[in-house]
Amino acid sequence: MTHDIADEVLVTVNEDIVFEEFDGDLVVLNLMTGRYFGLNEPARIIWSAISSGYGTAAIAQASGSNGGVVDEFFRRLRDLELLTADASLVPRPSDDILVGMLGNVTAAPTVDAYDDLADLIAADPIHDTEEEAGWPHIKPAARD
Amino acid sequence: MTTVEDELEVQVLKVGERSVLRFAEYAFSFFDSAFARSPDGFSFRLADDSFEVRGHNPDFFNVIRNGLAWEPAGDAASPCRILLTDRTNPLLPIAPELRSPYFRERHVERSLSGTRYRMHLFPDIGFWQFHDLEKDRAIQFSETPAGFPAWEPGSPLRNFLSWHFSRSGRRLIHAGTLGENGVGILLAGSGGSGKSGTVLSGLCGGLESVGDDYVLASSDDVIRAYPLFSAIKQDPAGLKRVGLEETPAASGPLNWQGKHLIPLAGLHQPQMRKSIEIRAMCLPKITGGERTVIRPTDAKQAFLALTPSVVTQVPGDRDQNFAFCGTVSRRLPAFAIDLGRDPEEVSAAITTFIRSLA
Repeated sequence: MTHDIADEVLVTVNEDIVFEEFDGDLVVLNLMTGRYFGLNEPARIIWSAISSGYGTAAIAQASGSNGGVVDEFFRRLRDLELLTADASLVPRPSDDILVGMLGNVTAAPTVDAYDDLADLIAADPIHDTEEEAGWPHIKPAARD
Repeated sequence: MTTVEDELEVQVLKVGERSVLRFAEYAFSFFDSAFARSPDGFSFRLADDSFEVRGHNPDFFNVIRNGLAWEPAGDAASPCRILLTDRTNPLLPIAPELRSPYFRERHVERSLSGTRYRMHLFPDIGFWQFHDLEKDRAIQFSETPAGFPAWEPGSPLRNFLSWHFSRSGRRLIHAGTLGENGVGILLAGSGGSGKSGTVLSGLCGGLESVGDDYVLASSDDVIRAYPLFSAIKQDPAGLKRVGLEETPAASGPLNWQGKHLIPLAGLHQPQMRKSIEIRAMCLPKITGGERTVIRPTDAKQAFLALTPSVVTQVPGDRDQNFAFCGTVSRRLPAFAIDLGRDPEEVSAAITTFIRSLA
């Protein structure tokens, strides 16, 4: 099955996107917004492929029958403002390394927003943040 | 006799996001002479490092003396130097004033991340903190001598300590600690998870602690926690649960969170340990159950319990604090603690657990 998707190189939006790996999963934090995200193991593998410079078309194709799901996953990462396309970069074509990375991935990649972590931090980064100042500054009403 | 204050005419400079760096450079150009002629000072050691604070603010010096787990200063050649100055007792010829009605802290942090400077602003009260990492010196500007945030007495100079210790790879983490004979555990979790109550129960049961809120951590060959702040925080109900409602600390004033500050040294431990070697990360949870249950959990859960507070609350180098929490979470075995409702039973269960780690 082929999928007509643009062949792009995705990069993290900026240096505010940081991540740590735990037992195959990835926890990603956007330092600008204070939002945390969890990527399951298939998502972490694809994230790793993206970080290695492989193009989105190559990744989707190497994912085989999951190509459409992977494409949707790219869209979600962009909608969550974690990744963006960098038109100045030439996509790295598929090779044995990429096939080896993705060949054993059968489950769908998922990215979940840990919005429940809002209880763990000083403010809900989505609703309570001062619009102009941004996270971690909270609105006076949310502080009280 | 003219005083330093009489001689100084203070120029108030409007500081915005793009001029923070210039202001920091300019302010520190006056630092050495201002520090040398400051009228009062206090030198101490904390977590094996030396500090010297100077200024004209006896009240804040008392905040530091009462709030830090300090030791007498030795003959340190290069202490971290911190200068306190305010508008009523200026020690520098310049003072900052926010240019715009808001201050996008993350934007400023990003612009300073490649430089030698770190800063924090609490705009509500005009409280500015700057740190020069290269020369390990710092300036705190406030409007008045008492113009510091409400949480400062419980964790004085916290931001400066964070920036100073980061120079040697040690980092502040938001966790409680309990140990026995210098070996123990971290307790990580959100506010209300039971960290402080668990620390207090453990202390009453004979365990030791180097802190219940923010501690200093190193991740060399072993993970180690060091004391920074001298008090544990607990509300009146929590003190009553462990039978401490009649102690002198329980009759003292409540802090901004409605909690008492109780000195750690002397609270069932003759003096605070210099450090505790950490063998596990524990995630407490108040369940109200009959008995305490300790069960393994995974590093990701430990990371999610440990990280958000410090990344949110400790300014500057948040990415490095995030990474440090990742390192600590991966290196330590993680356990969830479902807390029973009897403090003595909780203490006994944790003591048994800590002994199993030794």
